[in-house]
Amino acid sequence: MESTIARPRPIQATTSSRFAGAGNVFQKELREWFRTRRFLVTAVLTSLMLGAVPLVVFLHQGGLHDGRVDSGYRGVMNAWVALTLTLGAYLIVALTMSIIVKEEDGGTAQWIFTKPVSRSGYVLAKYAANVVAVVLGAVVIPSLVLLALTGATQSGGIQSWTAVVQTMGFASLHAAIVVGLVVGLSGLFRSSAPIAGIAIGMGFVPLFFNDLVPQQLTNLFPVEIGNIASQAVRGDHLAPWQPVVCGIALLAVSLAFACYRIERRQLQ
Amino acid sequence: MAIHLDAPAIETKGLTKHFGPVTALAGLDIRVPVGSIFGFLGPNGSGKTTALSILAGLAHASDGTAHVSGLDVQAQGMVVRERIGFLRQDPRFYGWMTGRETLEFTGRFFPLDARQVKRRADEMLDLVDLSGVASRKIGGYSGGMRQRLGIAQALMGNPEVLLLDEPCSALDPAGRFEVIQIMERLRGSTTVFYSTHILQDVERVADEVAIINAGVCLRQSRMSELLAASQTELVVEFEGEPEPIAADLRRQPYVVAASPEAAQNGLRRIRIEVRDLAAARRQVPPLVVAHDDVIFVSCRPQQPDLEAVFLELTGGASGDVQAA
Repeated sequence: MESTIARPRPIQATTSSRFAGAGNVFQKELREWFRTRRFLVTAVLTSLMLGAVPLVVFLHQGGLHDGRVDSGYRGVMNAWVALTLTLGAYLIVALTMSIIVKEEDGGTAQWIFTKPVSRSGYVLAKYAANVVAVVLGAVVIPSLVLLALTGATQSGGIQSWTAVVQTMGFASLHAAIVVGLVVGLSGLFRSSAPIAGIAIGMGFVPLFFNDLVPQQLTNLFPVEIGNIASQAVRGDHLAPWQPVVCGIALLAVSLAFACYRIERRQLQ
Repeated sequence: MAIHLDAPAIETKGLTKHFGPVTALAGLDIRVPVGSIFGFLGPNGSGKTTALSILAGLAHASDGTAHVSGLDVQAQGMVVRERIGFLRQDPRFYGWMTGRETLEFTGRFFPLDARQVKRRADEMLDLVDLSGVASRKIGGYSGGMRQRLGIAQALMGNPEVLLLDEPCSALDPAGRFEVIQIMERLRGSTTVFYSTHILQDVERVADEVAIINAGVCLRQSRMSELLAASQTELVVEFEGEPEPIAADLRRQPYVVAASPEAAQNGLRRIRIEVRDLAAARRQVPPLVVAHDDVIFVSCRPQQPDLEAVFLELTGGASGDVQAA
């Protein structure tokens, strides 16, 4: 009986794309977020955290007796931005700091790298999938919960949807930059502790040195995107886009560095 | 990009690998014929896993070259990985995936459409007898099941060359037998290059063997030639007193040592280590017969086993090599 595992050999060599296997890795990564319930837990926890804000304001303003309240909208919006960009950043770092390290430690990276998959494609696919999951689970869904509750508890409802969309855009960009920074640091370190420490540090350090260094210098740190988001949610004129441009540049450099390092990393 | 159709399945020339001050490979030269089952033997720390890692594209050589199907593993790594299957010693997969999902995930790295991936996954699950647990998460698999799944994933891309690092190490005897059978079925269609500590498995299935120690290949030859070249002992059986015969044998120029052994079934045996096997086979029987009180029974070469050859070549550095 002919073996089911024998087949005619190909005669010609095949060529593979620069990002071979990236689509497969992207699908796997997203599926992992859902199958391990990490997405569900993230979305629920952050929704509870953000959803509590308008509820607390509502209760504090006597909403239980008087119905929808007239004040507190600005506070809710400021709290939304602050929580999303600070606590949210810590959460994003905690969720993503091991996305590459754990695969190398666990041996699954070695398994995948013996397949016809581009290592750069692998890095970029993991980045993209984690950005999608983090933006949806830690930014968009919780923000929608907050906005729904704000609209239900504030007599004026949502005062400006343009501001809301801009704010969510900046928050998503910030999340994408943080994930990119974590991936870049994964090219440098092979344990998650320094990755987390540096990524979180880059979020805090500018806040400590605000009074000591010129604003132009602190604008280089991605956390300053929070200032732009605050301006957006208030409907103010948006400040110079230096943090955004620097953040995108940092993202590009981080991803390029990670690809370069992991292409050359030797595993056994 | 051309493939050299006459190229061996695997060829390394002067393959060297340093890890800082440690030299894992010190100029490894091996040549693996296409379609063969090739055993790669060596004690712990001899460089087997390092060699396999370089061939699979996980590590880079410090010096020398390595080719798979005529393709340079470093310069043409992506094309090489389209043509190989690799199973590491302790296979790791995603615990949240099922066995079937793992194979389908692997299959999607190769130029197969969705239908082909599913069909191939079913075939591989049948081959390694995991169809019944295909929908179970790998986190619930035993070590043996994980090993069998590892073989299945290595075969998903229909490889020309299968690289197996200790494929039987986590298996019970029945599991080892199944793995050996799988390798037998691949003979001729796929080159199987596997490292192992279990010498019996090599003796049972390998066409060729390379014995490596301290990062160099000590010997490579066909299994039958390797064992034949190591025949240096005769065993003579007779009835009678062994000591006078042993003393006579020790005086012969072709004899290195003559060691009487305990009596079995009324017969005495003397194990003779010789320098010249042909001369010994001619001269030992008449020497024994010349003793009046002795009844000569037989004189035959002692069949060497791979363990003896291995220990002789490696200087007894067996590590955890097992005879069976």
